[in-house]
This record gives sequence, structure tokens and C-alpha cells, in this order.
Amino acid sequence: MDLKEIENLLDLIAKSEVNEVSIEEGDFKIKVKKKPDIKESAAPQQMPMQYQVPAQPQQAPQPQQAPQQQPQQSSGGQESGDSGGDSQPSGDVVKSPIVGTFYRAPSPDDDPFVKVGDSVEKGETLCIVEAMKIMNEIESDYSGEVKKILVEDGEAVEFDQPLFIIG
Amino acid sequence: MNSTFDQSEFLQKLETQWLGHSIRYFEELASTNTYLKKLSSQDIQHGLFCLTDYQTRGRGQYERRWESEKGVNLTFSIVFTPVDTGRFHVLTLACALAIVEKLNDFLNASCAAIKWPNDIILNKKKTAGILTEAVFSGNTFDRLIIGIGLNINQQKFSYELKEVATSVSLEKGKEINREQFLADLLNRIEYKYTLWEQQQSSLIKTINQNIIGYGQWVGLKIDDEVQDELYKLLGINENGALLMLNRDGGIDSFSYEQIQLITN
Repeated sequence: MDLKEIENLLDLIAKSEVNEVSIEEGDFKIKVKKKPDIKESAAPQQMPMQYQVPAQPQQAPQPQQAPQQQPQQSSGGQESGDSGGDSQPSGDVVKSPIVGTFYRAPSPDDDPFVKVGDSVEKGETLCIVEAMKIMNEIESDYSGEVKKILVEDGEAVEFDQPLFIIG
Repeated sequence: MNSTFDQSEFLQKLETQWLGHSIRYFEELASTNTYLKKLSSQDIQHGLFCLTDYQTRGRGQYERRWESEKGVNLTFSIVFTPVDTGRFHVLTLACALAIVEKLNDFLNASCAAIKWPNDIILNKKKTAGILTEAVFSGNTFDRLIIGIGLNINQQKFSYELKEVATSVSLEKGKEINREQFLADLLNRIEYKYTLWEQQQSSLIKTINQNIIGYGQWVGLKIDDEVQDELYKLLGINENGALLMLNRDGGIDSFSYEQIQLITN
């Protein structure tokens, strides 16, 4: 896929009602997510590439854009409320999918799943958020280095609160 | 009594629509929950079932050990991939209710109950425990895993457990056919799942009626602190939050605190 094709793809997605698109062609993989709340400029040449398309429905050509919600997913770029923070290291942000209590280890006697500086693979467990007696394991949806852990062990976290920066 | 679980007998007896049709059996496995958690997304489907005859690193909540003798009990986990990604605690309790109802039917008595949040008590002793874990990839829900450890034919428990644990066989006074028991239980769990999915209010009502201490004044420990006042246990609401009536006549709802009920 060349740059022109990517540009066209971004245009197409910006105008559409889709929140997230993943395309794989052999080794080449592109994932595009609409996320209005992250302003940082992540290096676009990194894999997996992630382009932040500012979703501004009020400026979209179609006057009646439907709210972009997909019932089977708790993700989606419709939430904001947190600031990107200028002093944060750049990278992809893993956010809490639910309200609950943040734990860095499976139990108080165990080592944390990850530490700053560790390199993680996509699918590796980063933390547990306990809510309503359910242990929710949060796996990284990115590969890279753990740049920053934004929450203390045992702290209460909100829905969509940034937890980790993976770069 | 120690025997290998007979998969073909079990599958013959299973009458479910989707639950347990795909089974992963292991003679020995560290933990059925961990096994299902680690499978890649392509390898799982709704209703996938994992069972072992010897769970070497069985876990309860907060990594507490779940001990189970080899080849006599039922230790298994189920994968669910529901569209609705909330109310998981209600589903845990719906599974607990399925176990309670199966035990009561099987023993012809009203002898089983739910010890909130995730244990099953049979004649005042623990006979089953449930561990529910969800997996998210970033903020996208991936799978829910409900693990159940159920004491079936175990005759002896360790010194620490013998006063507090029991098995179905000890209460029934004879050996139990594990394959038949499990097939019946999964049938019930599948039905409860449907009620949960449809958000049937009757499910919440029946769960509450089977929770030990329901409608009674009970002691309460919040985040490890024993409260001076008693609270009246009003059960869970449709989202799974625990409701307690306080002495001032107000209703407290607990979702995120570490709560322990102190019942007699």
C-alpha cells in the first residue's frame, strides 16, 4: 500500500461512520482508529502504524451523522475527558475498559506483570482491573516498550482512564 | 473411586444447545481458567469447555489455592463471549444458582445455598467455588471465563479443610457419576445463561433467594474493616451491585469495595 492509498483510506474512514479499521496485506498491517482525545504525534513510521484521525462529526459533510456506537464493543473513540498531557512520553495509550481497582500483579505476593522499560508483545497481560468481584485482565493491544505506568497499584480507575503508555 | 473422566459418556449425556460441545480434556493441567485465558482468540468460541482430572495450580479469588483430589471431582472452565460486556457478576451468580438447584434436586433437600460472592455451601460446608475472569485486549472485550471447582466424590479433606469442606458424595452417602452430574449441570448453566442474556428479573430474584443471609441483618467487612453496625442484606440488583439497608434506613450499594459478609 503506498502513501496515496493510505491517504485515500484515511479520507474514506474520516467520512464514514466506522470507528476502527484494520487491514493486513502480507507483512504490511495498518490499523486506523478514530480517537478524538489524543493529540500527541506518534511516529507514523512505527509498526503497528496508528494514525489519529480527529473525529469532528460536526464538520463532516453528512449533516446527520449517527452516534458511532457498536454495542458489542466497549471501545470506541466517543469518550474523551482525559488530557493527553504534554509531558507524557509519546506512544500508544492503553486505557481502562471499565471502572474498577487497578492491580499491577495477580496477587500481592506476585511480581508485577510489567515494569517501566519492559518490552511487551501485543496480547501480553499488563494489569488487572477488578470490578464487581470479577478479575479483568487487560492485555496490551500494542507491541513496544512500557514507557510509563500512569496509575498506582490499588488505585481506583475510571472508564477510559489512561493506564500505560507503550512506545 | 479415582477414575479418568469419560468424555464420550459425558458427551452422550449432554443435552445442551451450545455449551460444552467443544471440550478440551486434560488428565493434568495447572489451571483450566489459565488455559482458556491463554488460548488465542481464533481458538476459542462461545461455550468452549475445558476440564481436567487433576488441577495442580487451581486458584480461587485473589490467587487463593483451590485444592482438589485427583480424578474424583469436577474442575472445569467455560468460555463465554457475550455481546453484553457488563453484569458479569450476575452471570457468576447465575452459575452458582445452577449448581445450588442441581444439588438441591440431586439430594432431594433444600441444603445448598450461595455464599456471596462466589461459593456454594452444602449443609453448612463449602462444596464449590467459582472464579470469573474477563480478558480485554486494550479496551476491547475479548472473553469471559467462568471456572468452577466442585467437590463430587472426594471422601477426605486435609486437616485444615475437613471442618469446612464437603463433597456431594459425602452428603449423598454414595458414589456419584461425574459424567451424568456434569452433563445435567451444564444443561442448567446454559439455561441460566439464556435468562441472564435476556435480563430476566426473575433470575435476580431467584439468585437473591438463594444467597445466605438474604433479608437478614448481617455483619459487614468493608475493605478489611469490620463495621460496628449490622446491615440488612437486600441482595444484588440487576447490575450485580450488592444492596444493604443500613441502620439509618438508607440503602448502600457496593460495587467496588472489598466486601465480606459475616453471616452465622
